This record gives sequence, structure tokens and C-alpha cells, in this order.
Amino acid sequence: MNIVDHERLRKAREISRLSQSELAERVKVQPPVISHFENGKRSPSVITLRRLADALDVSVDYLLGRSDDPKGGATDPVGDTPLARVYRKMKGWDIETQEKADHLLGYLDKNKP
Amino acid sequence: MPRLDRLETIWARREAKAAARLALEELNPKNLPINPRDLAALWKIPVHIKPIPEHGVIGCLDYLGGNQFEIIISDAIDNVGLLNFTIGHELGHCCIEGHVEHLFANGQNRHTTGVEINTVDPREMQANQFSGDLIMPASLCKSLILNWDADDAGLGSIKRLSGSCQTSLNASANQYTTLTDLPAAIIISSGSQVEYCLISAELRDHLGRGYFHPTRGQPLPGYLPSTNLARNAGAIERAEEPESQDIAWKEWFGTGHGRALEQCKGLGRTGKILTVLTANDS
Repeated sequence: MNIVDHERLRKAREISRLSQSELAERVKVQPPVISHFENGKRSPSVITLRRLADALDVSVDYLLGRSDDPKGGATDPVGDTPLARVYRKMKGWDIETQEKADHLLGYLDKNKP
Repeated sequence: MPRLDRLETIWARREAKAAARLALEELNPKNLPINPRDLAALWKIPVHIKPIPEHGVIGCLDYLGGNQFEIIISDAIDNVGLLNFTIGHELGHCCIEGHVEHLFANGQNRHTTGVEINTVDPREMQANQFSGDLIMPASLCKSLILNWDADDAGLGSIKRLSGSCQTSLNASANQYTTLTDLPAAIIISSGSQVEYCLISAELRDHLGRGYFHPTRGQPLPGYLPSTNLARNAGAIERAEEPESQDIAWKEWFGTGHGRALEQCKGLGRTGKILTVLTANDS
């Protein structure tokens, strides 16, 4: 059983204009391994799956077929992480306050180190 | 739960060992003990020690969304050996191929690990193998064991491995069988029954074809130090070590020429016994 959507993986690589060799270098595997992932013959480890998602600028959820949005998540972030805390706070706000927060986050994003 | 035949088990262990080798290349440790949290930090996987409400669960690997993962280790673990081994186990799930399906099928976001170190589940067995190879790597431990074996083989070497690597006696004994050059075996038993037995490559060669490998549920052989210890729950809990005894290999394996030294030790509150057999032909 392979739960990684290998078609999406191939498309995401093509959209990123990366060759299999370039992607392999970024995710620290041998080039033929990417071909095996894209053919569905092998499935990546958790670490490699995350490296693939980061290198292709998509979400793990998208590669697992849990979300149709390439950058979207199927699950709310959970646990005691900054992301989960921000998410939980913002989820309870009205849309106007969320817009203001988004504006502020945009400012932080532009000025991040 | 799928069970593996002998060849599949060998292959599964090789996959886990290869994953550990690659992880060690990334971590590049120079000295013992190896702290598995260093590898977790390298892979940007936070490790939190806190209560886990599920009964009997000592470790969790969580997918948090946003491409983030974290490891939770139960704060009920009161020894550094099990703590390190459990972190290594969860890291094994992260880097062995094929475990994504095991961990996150059917929309699951949490994988839990139970208190039992050994299990028949092949993915859990692989994660255990990875953890042992990560924390007690051949590159740093093999030469030490060769020296220790020359001085005080078997249980003595296992205790020194446990001390140097900050691992439990049980995990150290498992790894000892893969690193020693001696004919050696370890048996973990509970009550008067075998839980599992591991043997070194040298012992496999020594016994040859047709030996009987002790398996789960088999009664302990009669009139041996381990069998006597199994009758004394208090001595097991006090982690006592009865005097070692010269025995024949065939007492445990039904075949094999020559003699072995049987050493055993109670494993405290676990209620289990560690038996160590090493060649005693001198």
C-alpha cells in the first residue's frame, strides 16, 4: 500500500521546474529513488516526504492526497506549537479581526530575517 | 498483523540498519553516548516529555499539519535507557521507507508506541532495530566490545555497553548479539517461558543447520540458573544475578558441540529475566 500520491509528486516537480536529479539532491536521496517515488514503486520515509514537500513548496497533506490545495492542510495544526497557538486564536476571531491579523502577518513575512 | 518469515525478517532488519547508517552519517557522532535528541534536532522534530493519557503508551509520533512533526515521550519513563531508546524508536519510524503508510493511513495523525520493546509487528521491529543501531552503532561499539569480551564476555560486556551508551540492559543485550565476534545468545523470558532469543552470527555458524531456535512461549529448559531464577519473583525484582553455570549448548538449542557459560539476571520491575550464553570451551 502506497498512500503517497505519486502523480501529484511528479506534477509538483514539473511545476517547480526541477529535474529528478535536482530534486534528489535537495531531499538527500539518490536520483533513481525519485523516479521510483513518481512511479509509485517505492514510498518515501516521513523525513523524505517532508523534504519533498518543502522542496516543491507543497504540503505533506497534498502529497498524501488529504488536501486538494497544494499548500493546504487537511488537518488543523495541533499541539503546543507557535503555529497551532496562532491558528487556534485566529480561528475564534471575527473575519474583520482575521483580516487585520493577516495584514500584520504579511508585514512580518516581508520583514522576516 | 502481518508476520514475517525468516527471509523477510532478515531483509526488514537490513532496511532498518541501512536507515540507521544513513542517519549516523548525517549526525556524525564522535563519542558515546549518542543522544538521539541531537538527531531529532537535526531533523527539526521537537521532542517533548510530558504525560500521555493513553494507557501503556510510552511514545508518540504526531503529525501536526503544516509539514511539522513532533515526538512525545511519556514522563512516566524513569530511566534514561528506555527514554533514549524510545526517542530512537520514533525517529526510526521517521526515516525508514514504508512507515508513512504504517503511521498515517486512514487519515491518522498520531502513531503510538507501547511499553513493550519487542513486538511481532514488523514495522515496530524495524524501529527497534534502528534505535539500537543509532544509539549503539557498530562504528563506535564494536572495538569496545571486542576488548570487553576478552576481559569479561557476555553479561559483563552487556553491562559495560549499557553504561557507555546509556541504554537499558535489555536493549544492550539485543545489540550485543549483533556486535560480538563470539558464539553468544541472549534470551528474554517472563515467568517460565521464553519471550524471544537472539543469537550471534558466530553462534549460528557454530550450531550449524537444524538447531532448535527458542521461540515465544517455549518453556525454559530444566535445572539451569535461569529456570531457578524464574521461580523466585522477589529475586527477579531485586535484579539478582545467580552464579553462572557451565552448560551444554544443546540444553537450549537441541544441538551444538562444546560448552557454554549461562549467566542470568533479573530485570527488576519488568518481571523478566535476561539470560546470556557465551562459548565456554576453555
